[in-house]
Amino acid sequence: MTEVRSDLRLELMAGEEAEAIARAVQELNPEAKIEEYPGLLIIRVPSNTRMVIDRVRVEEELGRPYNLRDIQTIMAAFYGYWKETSPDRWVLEWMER
Amino acid sequence: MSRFRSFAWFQDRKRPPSEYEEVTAFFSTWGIPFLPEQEGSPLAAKSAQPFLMNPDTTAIHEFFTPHTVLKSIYWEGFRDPHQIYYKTYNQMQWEAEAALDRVLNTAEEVGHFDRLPRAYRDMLEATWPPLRFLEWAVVKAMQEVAHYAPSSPVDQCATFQVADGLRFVQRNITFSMRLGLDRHKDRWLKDALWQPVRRLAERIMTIRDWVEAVVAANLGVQEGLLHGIFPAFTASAQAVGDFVFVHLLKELGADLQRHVDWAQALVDYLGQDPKYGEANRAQLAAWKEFWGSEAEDAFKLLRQALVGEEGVRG
Amino acid sequence: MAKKVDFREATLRQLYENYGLTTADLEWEPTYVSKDEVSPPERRTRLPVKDWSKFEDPFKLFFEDYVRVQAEKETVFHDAIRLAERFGEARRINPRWVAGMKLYYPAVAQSEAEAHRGHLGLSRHSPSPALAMASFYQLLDELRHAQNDVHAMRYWVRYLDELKNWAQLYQNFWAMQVFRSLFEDMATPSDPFELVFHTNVALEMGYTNLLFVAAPTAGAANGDRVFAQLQMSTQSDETRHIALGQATLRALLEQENRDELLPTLQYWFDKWTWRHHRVFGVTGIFLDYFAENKTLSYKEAFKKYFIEGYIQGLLEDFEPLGLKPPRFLDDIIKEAENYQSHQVWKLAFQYNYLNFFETFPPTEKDKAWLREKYPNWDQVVGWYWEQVEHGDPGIVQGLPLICNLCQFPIVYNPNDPDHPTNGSFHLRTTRYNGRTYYFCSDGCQYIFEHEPEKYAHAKTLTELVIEGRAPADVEKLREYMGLEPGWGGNLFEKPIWKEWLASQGREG
Repeated sequence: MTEVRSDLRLELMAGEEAEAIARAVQELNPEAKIEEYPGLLIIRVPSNTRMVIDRVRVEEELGRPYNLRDIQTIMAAFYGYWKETSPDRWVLEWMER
Repeated sequence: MSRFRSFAWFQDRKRPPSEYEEVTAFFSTWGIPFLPEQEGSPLAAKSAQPFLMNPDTTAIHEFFTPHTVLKSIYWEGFRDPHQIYYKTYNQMQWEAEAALDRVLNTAEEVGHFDRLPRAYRDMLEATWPPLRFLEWAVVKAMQEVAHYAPSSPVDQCATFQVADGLRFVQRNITFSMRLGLDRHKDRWLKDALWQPVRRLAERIMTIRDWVEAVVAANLGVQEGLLHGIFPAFTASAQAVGDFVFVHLLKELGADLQRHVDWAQALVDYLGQDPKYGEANRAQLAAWKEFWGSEAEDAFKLLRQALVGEEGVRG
Repeated sequence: MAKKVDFREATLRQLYENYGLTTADLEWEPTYVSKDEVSPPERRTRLPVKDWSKFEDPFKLFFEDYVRVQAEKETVFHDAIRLAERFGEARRINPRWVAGMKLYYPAVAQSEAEAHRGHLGLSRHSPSPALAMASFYQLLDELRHAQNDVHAMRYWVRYLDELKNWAQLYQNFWAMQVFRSLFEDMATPSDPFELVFHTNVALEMGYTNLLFVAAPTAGAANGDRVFAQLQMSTQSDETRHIALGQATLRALLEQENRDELLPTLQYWFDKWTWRHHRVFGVTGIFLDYFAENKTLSYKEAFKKYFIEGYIQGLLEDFEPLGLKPPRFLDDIIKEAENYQSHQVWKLAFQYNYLNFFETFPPTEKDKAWLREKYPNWDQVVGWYWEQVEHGDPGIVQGLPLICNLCQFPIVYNPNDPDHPTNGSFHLRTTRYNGRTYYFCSDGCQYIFEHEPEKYAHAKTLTELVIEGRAPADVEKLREYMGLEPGWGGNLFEKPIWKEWLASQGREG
């Protein structure tokens, strides 16, 4: 096993919502990295930070109202723990140690 | 005319099977080779080794022990009269929920809830919120039905009834919250009005014969609610112009009607079994008689609270 | 942006904040019947958990949300099928990939059906209302997955015959016994929480990303959008199930008395990681062999999803709480990275006259890719394909010795059980109640010796044939397994392959 903790990761089916979510995450976490594959968009943030998806920011990026629950229609995989999945924010992080 | 192409067990049909039929049957293929007869099954008597795990040591014997006294030559032959499967269920219920929400939004816009008479609201507080617990017990009974029925079509009917039960409970909760109705658990546990219903609910959760559970839950409880209680609620709501509650009851009533329909269809199917029909009919009639009257008795006080003594006798 | 707050959103927020109203509050202590009558002890977990309140579901689901989100997913998937039918896509998909789909769907459909059934039991008798609720939605999801696999088979059966017998193939086909053994084992857990381990933890966290994210990329690259969309859509449901698994592990390992729980939990972790490796390693042949247009290798997918996602992800948090790495992890890694997909593919080709799906020798282009991704490929199986290329039909006549636990033929080469290119296939034997049992590996032997009474009664297909309970004659055996004449064999020797090449303007 490596000493370094793996990144927090969210894998989304590609499309405009995935892109808007990625930009919204980057706004709050400048260390976020985006990778694109056919059909898939992957957002990574370092393990010692958090991935916060803020509804208001996603809506600004998308230009229309967005229900965070709809992330479920495009989420293919995640690595981390969902600390919050409220109507206003979804937060992914590793367990505190 | 060209032959249609489908799975082997539909090949001798004159017409292609419906999408419902093609995707519903044979999920529990491991159960089928064990059950005696099952003449219509493509797997009947064709497997040298129907199951690989030792039935005598597994903690749960569901694959090897019948969980009903009734018999059928072909459990997989049952069909849901509403032909609901996963694709159609979600679309149907999403449309129904969206329609209900539009009515609720209108109600908010016109200040409907704040204009309901106090007496009506108090009546609802005593009679509506605790029904969530009764439907929760029905949900639990249906989980057992889905788990034990050696028939994918029955499993599916029971599974969507479980989902309907979640709908009922959550609509009961949100409507109650909006009207500020309180003390639902207290009433369920202690009010004289609710004890016969609670006793019925607790007994429903202990039924071990899955067919009996279908009869008791659907032709007893759900039928009793649909025809004995809901009309009384509707009449009360109409009397004060509560169009919202009327709509809610209509929506939830449509779900209850499907429960009654599939249960009746199962009763008919088992009663018409070429080999065991007569014996099945006798047992089913006894269960229906028993649980029908248990439900009626259990709902008596509740009905009285809704329609008054005269209404109950009349 | 001005936001109109509507009744639905307002009440969903209220429900989210008062989640206990839709879970714990619905439970009550019965007084007219006993608790044991409502929930018999034999249906409940025997784990000595003290604090059930530690279970929390991160995805707090509500009915209205569920049907809305799922209806949308269903529309997208079923539209993919409808358009594929309308525009005749099936005929334009690479027959190499189609061959793989014949194998894939009947096997996977039953795994979903087993999970549906298992969660019916778990949610009904769960002492944690939050866990019960998450399990409710899972059992609905699993029905979706099973049914959508059948929808896909229904679409395919219009074009090819083999899937019309899928139920019989699942029951009797030689390679399907591997899947049956796994899924029947999963369907009969010793405890409802063993179900959470084998499904939510080991399978869904460990292997579904391989199956449902990596394999779809290969499907898409070979023209099969239906498969790609189906599996990615399935995977979006899996994310909820994974969250249930994580929450369960956390709640169990955060118990004060976790030392009492650890031996059982460790055994389940060890057993199921091994069993899933043996079976879902078969995913490797989709990425490494069936697919003509390759995306990533099994080794690469394994590293990304199994090692980084599952092992590192889990152990980072749970090793400090006492969970150890899975017992046969080194074997698993060594095998997945070097041997597994190659041994399985070779085995499938060796028995191609008994298959209902086609297999084929790797082409020069395939071999170049395989050698690049697996530097010791020639040593492991390249020598065998060399023989096939030089005219050896490569088939094995006569049934192999089959592992009495996992039902995998015990394959090793050249004829040496301890040869280094065998991966973790090493012949092991155990004597139990007067009968000798054969195993393909240390992992399978370990599990058998832990629970012999569960596994001892089954006979392998080879044993059934020897006893006269299944046919020895090849034609009769094919019929018993559900095969019709013309099914299986070497794809490159069949007209459909030549027709495909012609349609693509390629030469044989």
